Amino acid sequence: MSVIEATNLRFAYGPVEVLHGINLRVNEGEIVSVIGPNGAGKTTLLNVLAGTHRAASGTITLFGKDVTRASQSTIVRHGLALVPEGRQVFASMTVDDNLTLGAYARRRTVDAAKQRELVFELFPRLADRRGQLAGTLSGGEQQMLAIGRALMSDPRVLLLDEPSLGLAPRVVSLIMRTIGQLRDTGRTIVLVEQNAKAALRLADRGYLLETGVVRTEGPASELADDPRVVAVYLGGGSDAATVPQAGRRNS
Amino acid sequence: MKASRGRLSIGFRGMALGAVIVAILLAPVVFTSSYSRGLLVNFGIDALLALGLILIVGYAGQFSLAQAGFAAIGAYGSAIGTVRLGWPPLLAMVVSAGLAALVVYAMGRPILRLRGHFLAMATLAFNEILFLLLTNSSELGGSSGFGGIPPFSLFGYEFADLDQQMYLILTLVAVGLWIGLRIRSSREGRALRALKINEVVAAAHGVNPGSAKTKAFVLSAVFASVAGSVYAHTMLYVNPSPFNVMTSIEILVIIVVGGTISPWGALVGAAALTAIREGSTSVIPELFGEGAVGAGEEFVVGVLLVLVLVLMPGGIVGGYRRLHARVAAWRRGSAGNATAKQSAESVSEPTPRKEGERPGDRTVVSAGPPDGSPQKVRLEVTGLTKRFGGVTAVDNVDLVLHDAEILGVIGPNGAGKTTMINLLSGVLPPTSGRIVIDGRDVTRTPAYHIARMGLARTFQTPVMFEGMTVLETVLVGTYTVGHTGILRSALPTPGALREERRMREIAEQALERCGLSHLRDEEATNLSLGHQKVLEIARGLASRPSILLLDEPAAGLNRAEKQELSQLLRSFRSEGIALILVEHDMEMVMGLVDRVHVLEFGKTLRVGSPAEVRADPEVIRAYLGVDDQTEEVVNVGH
Amino acid sequence: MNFSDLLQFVLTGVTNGAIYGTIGIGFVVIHRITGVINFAIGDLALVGAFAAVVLAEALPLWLAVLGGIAIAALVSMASYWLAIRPLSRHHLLVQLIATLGVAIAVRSLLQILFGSGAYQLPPFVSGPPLSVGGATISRQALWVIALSVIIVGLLILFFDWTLLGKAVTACAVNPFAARVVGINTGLMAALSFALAGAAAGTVTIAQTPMSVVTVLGGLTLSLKGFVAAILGGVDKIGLTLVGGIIVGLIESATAIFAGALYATLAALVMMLVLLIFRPAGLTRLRTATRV
Repeated sequence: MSVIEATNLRFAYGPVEVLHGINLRVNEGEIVSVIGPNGAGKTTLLNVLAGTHRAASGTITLFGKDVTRASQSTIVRHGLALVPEGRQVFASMTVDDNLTLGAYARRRTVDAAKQRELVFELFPRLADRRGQLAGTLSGGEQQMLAIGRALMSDPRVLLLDEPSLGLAPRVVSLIMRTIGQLRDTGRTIVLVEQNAKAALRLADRGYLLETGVVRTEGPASELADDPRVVAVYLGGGSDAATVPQAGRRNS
Repeated sequence: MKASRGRLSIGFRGMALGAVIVAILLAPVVFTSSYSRGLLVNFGIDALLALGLILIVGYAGQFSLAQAGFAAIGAYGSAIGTVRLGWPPLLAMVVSAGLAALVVYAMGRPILRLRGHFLAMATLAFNEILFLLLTNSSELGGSSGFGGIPPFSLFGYEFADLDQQMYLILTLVAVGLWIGLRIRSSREGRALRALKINEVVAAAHGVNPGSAKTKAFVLSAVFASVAGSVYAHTMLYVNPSPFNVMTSIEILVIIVVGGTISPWGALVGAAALTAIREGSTSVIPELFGEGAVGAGEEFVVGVLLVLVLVLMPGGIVGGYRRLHARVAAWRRGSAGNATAKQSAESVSEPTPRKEGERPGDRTVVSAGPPDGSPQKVRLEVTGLTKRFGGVTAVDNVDLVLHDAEILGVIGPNGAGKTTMINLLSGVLPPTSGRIVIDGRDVTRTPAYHIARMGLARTFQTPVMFEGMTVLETVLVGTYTVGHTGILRSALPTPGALREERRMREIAEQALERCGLSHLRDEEATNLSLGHQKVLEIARGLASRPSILLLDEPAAGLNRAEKQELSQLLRSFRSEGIALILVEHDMEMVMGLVDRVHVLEFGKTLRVGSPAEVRADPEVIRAYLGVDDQTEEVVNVGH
Repeated sequence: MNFSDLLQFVLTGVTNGAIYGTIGIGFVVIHRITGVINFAIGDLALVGAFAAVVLAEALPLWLAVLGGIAIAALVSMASYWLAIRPLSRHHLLVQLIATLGVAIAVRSLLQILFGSGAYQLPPFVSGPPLSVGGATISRQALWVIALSVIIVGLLILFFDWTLLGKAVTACAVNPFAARVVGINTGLMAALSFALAGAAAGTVTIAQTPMSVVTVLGGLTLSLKGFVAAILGGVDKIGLTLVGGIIVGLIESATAIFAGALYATLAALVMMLVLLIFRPAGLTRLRTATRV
């Protein structure tokens, strides 16, 4: 069952088009990873899917409903939540308040107290820091808070924009493991990541984005071995063979 | 064909100015009744006040509700000077203007550093204070004021009759218009216009924001004071009532309705407001009764202000310009000229530099040889650190940059690359560490000062100045090369004209080198992203820098454009410029730079040649990332 | 000057100051959520006062007062929809000028409708003024002070303890994140305009029985309210009320020593002095832009 279907999506910042007709499909219960170098348009794509930016043309359907022109609150109410790039927590408000606000759009349908318990189970560290101001948390804790806040609306689909940004490797592993757990509880995940290896290891399918177009897509394991991925990130397409592949123990 | 629109627009401006002069001379023929002449006089005073306000609001992007207050200084100053001190009117006018300038300078500097709404309230308070003081001062006649002011006279010639006064005021308006137009296209005017759009970018080109705003303010106060003086010499008495806050607001309405983008807006707006006032006096008594005329007119003014802002924020002049541009574009389109699609001309060879032409170099310095022999160290950074609250964006970075060298700075997202550029260019103060340029410690120097020392930078997202052509945009970059201040901008001294010519030459050269000459008269905001990015570089080049910092100049460019950019940067290097290039396109970076500096989490990961860095497994890991299993295996292996 | 005179001046100052402080709170609420300084707040408050006067002709006093407050809130919200919201993508300066336009339009409309005469409401409670240590304070003045304190309390409760209030605060703290979470930032902004109008309207209505209300008082009210807001760092509600009381006291003192004419002058000069030397007011916030 298709959860998200984007057809021929175009988006421009003023006169500059940054998404040139993206086609994307996310099925229920899977993790789809969107990878690509900087400036590829990954964040823009997520923002358009989440309703933060309005597409210039094309269509987006969410659980079969057309949400191309929908407001963000409508999209949240339909069961999609975004964990934005750079965390974007409410820095001068407490962890608790941050979480409470996550449930705001669905306050009538969701049991906020129950959701909060789930979040604290997932991230015990947040429970310890309930009353602290979000701006005083470390980077990793803020990322947990941002994810927790998104989970408060009990979303069926979770969009994560570069959750590993600026985080130490051990924290990144934790976050990635948590994302896997979320999928296992039945949620659908779209993950935008610069950390291609971790993202593709976790995902079921992947899309490789470059300068606003989908370069290639397919099962994550195939993508992970695709030399084009390395080429797109580190340059030197013809030299791809001479670049030692780190982390590939069986080569 | 090189579009001569630049020269054409000057011709057009000259024609329009000529039309204004003709209109002034013909005025007594058209406006025969003393009522209409009186109207013209009021129009003129409004126009003068508005011209002054445009300098602040339209050029510098600031806010002032104090124009009536400064006019009061001029009016009362002239009154006191001529009546009580027996001075000649010209002297009284000049002294009053000087006083107004002094008041602005004293109060202006600290308040101009605050955000816009504080300035707005401060000017409002100033105006109200002055009004209350005048209304309550018995020596100055309180609310009745005092009279006996002689008509204005200049070297014995008295402007006693209404039409003489009319000529005087209209001439002043013409002069004011001319000054406004001249400043607009001068070095300081461009700096102000850039400042209005983006203070950070303007500062990066050497514009001192506080001092620029203060200059604009001082000049506008002088305009207002002169207008007030003339008013006093027309009415032959002064009282506080015309100098209340409502008048200041009306002047603001004038420029909003007329259009803040050009001094013409002041005239158009003043005419519009005069028409509205006349209209209200005839229409409102029928609708609301005699007593409601004043309030009725105010109501129309208030509603008009909101309507114009919502529907036509550029005012009448702005609306006219948009129409003009649309017509021009349509005409161009139908003629089959697609300038946007024109391929860039090939990058030309570097122009030979004259010795000692770089700003910041007081001594004659020759460019270092392209490579090989030891280079002069241009920039040295030690222990550079920047913390934002709990996040360390740049962590203890050391860096050295030589003349005629391209240093590539790479690293995954969030590694601190742009923060570092901001630190080096003075936009952000470092938390700790030292930055030394040309042997001088510039660690806490503000951005505009560093720019004047010969450092130029581009921005990740190109910042274009609305309303400027490509050539004007590059001219903004020549700010550090010139010296003409705002006063000399208004009056064309031979030195100022010579300097302006020279700056244009430099700008044209920069455009040519970057292959943008064919676009010089285009609106900068209409350019494609690729062209805008090169334009930013041209703007930086125009300041004759010794150091150039480029923040992701290739992002969004296609392959061919990237190759041309590489070629351009190589030509800069051979000229001796020291370059730092922050980029994500590895293919481009590795093929272009001499050394690579890799950042991760704000720390230096590796510094070396492109080949070394590319093969380094740590670098590869930083970019492509680790996955769980690899990490676990590594840990187990220990 | 003896003790009872001193007390008198304190009481007068505090009463006036409570009004200025609440007007200032109107500024603060709007500024926190939208970043706009609403020049029209004083005039919008007057709309409430005049509405109450009109309603009092036909309705019992308490109903007229509530009606006036409601109308002030509605007109304030309307000014947001018509003049501020359409300009939300523009520079803040443009929105500032728009509020100026609203202020003029509202004031002149009131003048057309009501002329320049003075209007008054009957006092909320009947009874002689109270005597405190030799000084007198009217019961209405007590109403003014009490209402302003209640307003501060309610607003703080609202913003810090209710979900809706936190949502409004979130818009001020991080508008992007607020939208991500599905908060309708436009609606929150309209709500903050309504709250500001209601707060400012309440105290203005409450002081109408004491002095009079004329159409022209709006600008001065706005200016003095803004001084209070500066003292509160244009951010802290409680400190703004304190700031207002400081303004009221300084005004009172000036009136005693230099005459009533200079009282308003003192408040305005205070604004300039604050902006030049201490724009952060009583807070430790950084309000200056770095150049």
